[in-house]
Amino acid sequence: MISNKKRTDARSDILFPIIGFIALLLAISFMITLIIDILIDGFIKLKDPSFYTSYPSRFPEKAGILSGWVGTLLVMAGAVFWSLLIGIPAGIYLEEYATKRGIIGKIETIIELNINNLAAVPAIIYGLLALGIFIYRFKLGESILTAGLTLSILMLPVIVVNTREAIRRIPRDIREGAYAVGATKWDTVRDHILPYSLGGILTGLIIAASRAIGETAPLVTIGALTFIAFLPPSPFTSEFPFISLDKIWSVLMSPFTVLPIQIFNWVSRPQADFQINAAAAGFVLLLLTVLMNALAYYFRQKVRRKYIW
Amino acid sequence: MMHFFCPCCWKEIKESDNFCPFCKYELITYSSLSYEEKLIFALKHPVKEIRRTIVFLIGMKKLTKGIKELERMLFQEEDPIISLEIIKALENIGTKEAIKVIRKGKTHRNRLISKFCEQREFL
Amino acid sequence: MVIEALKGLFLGASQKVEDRTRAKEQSKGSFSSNTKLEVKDLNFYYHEFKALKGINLKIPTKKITALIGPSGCGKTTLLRCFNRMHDLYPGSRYEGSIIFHPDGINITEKNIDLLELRRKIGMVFQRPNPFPKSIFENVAYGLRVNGVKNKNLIKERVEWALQSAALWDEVKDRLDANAYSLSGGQQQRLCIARAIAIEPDIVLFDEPTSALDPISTAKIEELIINLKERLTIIIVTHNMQQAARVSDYTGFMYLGELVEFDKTHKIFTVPSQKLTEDYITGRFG
Repeated sequence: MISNKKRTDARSDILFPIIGFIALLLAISFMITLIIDILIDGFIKLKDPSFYTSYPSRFPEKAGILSGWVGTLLVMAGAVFWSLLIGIPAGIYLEEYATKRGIIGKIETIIELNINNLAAVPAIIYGLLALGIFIYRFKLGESILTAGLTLSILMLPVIVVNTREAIRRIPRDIREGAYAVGATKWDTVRDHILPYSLGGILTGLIIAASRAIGETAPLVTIGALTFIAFLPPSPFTSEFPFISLDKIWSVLMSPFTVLPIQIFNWVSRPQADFQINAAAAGFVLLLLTVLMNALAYYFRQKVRRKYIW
Repeated sequence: MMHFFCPCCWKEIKESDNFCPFCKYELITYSSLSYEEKLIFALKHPVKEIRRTIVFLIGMKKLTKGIKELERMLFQEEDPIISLEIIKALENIGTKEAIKVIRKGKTHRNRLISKFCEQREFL
Repeated sequence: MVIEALKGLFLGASQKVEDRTRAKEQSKGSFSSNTKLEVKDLNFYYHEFKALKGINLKIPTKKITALIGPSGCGKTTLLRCFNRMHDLYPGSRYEGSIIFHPDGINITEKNIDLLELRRKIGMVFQRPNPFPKSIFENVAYGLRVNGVKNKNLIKERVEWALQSAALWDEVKDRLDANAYSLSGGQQQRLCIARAIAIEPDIVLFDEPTSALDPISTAKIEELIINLKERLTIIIVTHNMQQAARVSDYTGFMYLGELVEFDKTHKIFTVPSQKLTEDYITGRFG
């Protein structure tokens, strides 16, 4: 019988959504407060175009983030390049080629088990690793190249895991359909596995990159500068082919700084005006991260619509 | 994975059973039946797909012994697809007796089936 | 509408029975000299599990051979031996031989060219599995991976394959549309077009209509019957009526063994084994 009295235990049905909603509001309000706070603090600087085109300076009103954002972009470009170059083939290998038999199989299993653990290793450990390998062993110097490689190690596990998951989502039928018309394994990987998993791979890449873009510790470890008043040389030349390998190399070998280090530097200054600069730079960094996440969301939606299994 | 059924009451039974635990049918009797008799038993199968196949096979085999059972089924069967299959089977058998049943089918309560029977007669 | 469709289905079916009997009369004669695949003492192991036990079978050329049996009897396993699909997964092992006539190659041989084998023995799967690409690319794919580069030739062959699969009229205006925009039945016919575009000698059908509605099923069955003019067809089906309707020869399998193999008409009207009788009459399944 349906009574018009509410059951007492139905109260928890109302109570929990309320608690949950409050928790949600709390989490969001932290975020919003943070964003609004740095926006207000740094607003004067953010609307000043010279902030983006000036080098750091001893005088807070003259200081800008030019070397910071250029450095961040170059380092991230390197990190993305290296992590894709290594991460995608590694993910494809583990998912499509690994047979898990014999001695190689043992190695495959060990790597597989540790990939997830690698993502949880503190970033500063990667910094120490990079210091030992790239700087002391391979003498790559305290350069953009070293920084890119360091961050790419940090990003690798996330990319490998995401690549594998994207590949695993492709149904077995599709692969078999390709093999059944006489495709080789490489044909299948090139024409099906890679294109269909690209959305997932890119999503993983962007998630990894938006984490790496804010990393400070490993870059400080490998000797990023905190104060730098010049840009790497331009790799472009006036003559054909308008770009020279030597100059690209000198870009890669330049010293650098990145936005988070710049922020850290300003925050540690005693002058109150530098705090404004730090807030403004923080907002720029936040904006970059949000943009990257929006991009990740866009790719995910696009791929979801295209490949519905 | 494999399921076994009592050929009399078509309830699911164990492979090792000698008697059906539901209707007490002696399964040894079944194994001594001819294929024709087994087919006629199977017209009562609970799975539609199989019932339809059996009707089709009775037509394919031109099994005159099955005509009576098909006639009974034609008016009891709830699935019109199977009823149509019955008429096709009767047509395949093609004896006078079978044609007679198709004629009777013209009075079937389902218009689809009665119409189908009417069309048969001109052939 | 529905009534018309159903009628069409039944009239079509009666036509098919006649076609089949006519075809059977023509085919009376030499059986062994027209063998396409000859299976001799085939055992197949999946890891430690012996999935196929001593299969002996001759698949006749340009005929439709159906494999029936309860689920888990090994009919799909046997089918996937013919194009060595099992090799995609670790732990498969073959014993015995499958001779591919007239070349005389043993399919179970370790070192045979699997790509060439799969070009000659195509396959259509249980669930329609088109690639998430355009309709054109789906059919062209087999040609491309087999090294056909000539664009006009590819165009020609795609059109020919789609026509053979009775799909051309429905898709000729939207060849660039994604294959997933087609209905289930159309997708399956697209998969058939994909399989026949590279002109294989044999096409394997693994329960091709189990995911489809009755009208799409009737279309596919008709298509399969038409294809036998050019190809040898082996079809696994859980639907006995389908086997009885479309096939010329039928094999009944049970627990990894081939219990009975004969002309379809004989298997369904006078089976020689008690086990076959009991399966056909629904005693187990």
